[in-house]
Amino acid sequence: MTPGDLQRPGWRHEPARPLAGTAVAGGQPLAVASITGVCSLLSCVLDTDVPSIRPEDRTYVAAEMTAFLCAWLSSLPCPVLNRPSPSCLCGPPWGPERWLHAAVQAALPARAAPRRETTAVTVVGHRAFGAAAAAQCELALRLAEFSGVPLLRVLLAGPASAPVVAGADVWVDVQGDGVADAISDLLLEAP
Amino acid sequence: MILLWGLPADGPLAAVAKRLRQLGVPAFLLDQRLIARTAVSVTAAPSPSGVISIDGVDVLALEDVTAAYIRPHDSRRIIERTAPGDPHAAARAAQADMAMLTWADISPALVLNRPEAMTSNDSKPYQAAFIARHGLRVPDTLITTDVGALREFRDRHGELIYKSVSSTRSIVARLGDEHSGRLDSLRWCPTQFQQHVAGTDFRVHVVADDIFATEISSEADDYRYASRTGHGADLRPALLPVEVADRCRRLALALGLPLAGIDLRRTPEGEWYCFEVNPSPGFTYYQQHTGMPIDLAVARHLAGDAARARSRLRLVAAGGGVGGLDRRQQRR
Repeated sequence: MTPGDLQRPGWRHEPARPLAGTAVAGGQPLAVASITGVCSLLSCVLDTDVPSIRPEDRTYVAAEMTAFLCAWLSSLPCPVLNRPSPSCLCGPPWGPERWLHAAVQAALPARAAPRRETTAVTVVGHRAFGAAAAAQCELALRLAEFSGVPLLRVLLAGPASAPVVAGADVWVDVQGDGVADAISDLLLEAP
Repeated sequence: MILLWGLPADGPLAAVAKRLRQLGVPAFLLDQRLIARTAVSVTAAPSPSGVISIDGVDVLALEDVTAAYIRPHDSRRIIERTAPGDPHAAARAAQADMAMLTWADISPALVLNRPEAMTSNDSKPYQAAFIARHGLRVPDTLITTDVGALREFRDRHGELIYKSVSSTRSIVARLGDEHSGRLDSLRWCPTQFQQHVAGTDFRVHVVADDIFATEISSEADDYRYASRTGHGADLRPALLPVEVADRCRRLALALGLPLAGIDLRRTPEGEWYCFEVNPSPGFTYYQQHTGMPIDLAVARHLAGDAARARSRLRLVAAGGGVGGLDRRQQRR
């Protein structure tokens, strides 16, 4: 599903009856009740995503589409990775300091560090990718679990055996080794 | 120290600033007109701290702030007026805004309201689903790109209104026969329709535990724009049924909004519907029409119990009330 699918007849969403609705994906209508999992990789709809709209209306239309997708994704009873927030369709739009704060709240070691001095560990549910040591895996998984964000890129600083959280974001590289398969497994194993 | 962030001429911000002065509570106004000359640094670990500086001079340590009332406007528009021709002003302003918003989300201070909590209003149907889960009735709603779905929905509900899905301000309007030639345009963007609920509007301002209800009589579909459609709007103080007031309090609490403007409508049958919750309400409009001291309640909540006690003593000594309504009736 892309922003272009929001410009096709067929969308029908009643918040009081979300499973009775229809969506459009890949240009085709899709019964919402048939959707068993969603992986959201879009933070918002941009003006550039709606080139068929008059230039003066693009910002408004993009904002409307983003707001709609937030409501629609939130209404789905199936797993949605990650659950949207009103200001980001693929999870919390937190900056580095907000993630550091989350780490402190979770009683995890944390400090700011230059990006070049960090290692990125990608969390997919209960699995972590890109870590050089078990301590990095554990720290990244604990931050993701505490934050309730199953798809997360955690930036770690310090030695691999004694890492600290230096930041995080929801911009997961799904093309990284094993990441796409792990996402697929996570969606398929969900009850 | 109380921090106020926004434009000095902003109605609610100015009203609260004035009340804080009357209460003798020290406050620092972070004047957004100075945004191009403002720098803010915030750190989260080991605990939230930071500093605001203007023209390179530190003016406020953020850990000294005990409470904040924030009503930031769009800095991009402000710097167009205050720093025209400065190619770096936009980047500096964006950085300062981001740092302030981060601080407002993570600070242990009381913040009216935390930015993250305010985002629920960015998607009206998202917020409406939250409202429904917390015990207030919301109008039946359809969001669609499909003319057939709209026709079915209209057959079910009769009269419909349409309005924006996002927080972009829009005038709520009735769907009429004059729109039938434009319905094919639905395919270009999901559009929100709701059953038309007849009745009387109420704006309820929640300030922590205090409730200030305004009843609005108007023939317009959207009383905020009544004059544009040749109608008027009459605003007067009102008392809510205890159960409705309690639901409003609980809803604001659940949304994480110590200050909220809740839009309700009471039908002729006595049913109450909730349309939305404004997380940064322009309460001075209602205050000017009703005399209800919402600004005082906000200032007192910011100032905390100590200042509240001092102000009560001062008012009693002066033999005055707090104006508008009997607050004993307002507090349940």
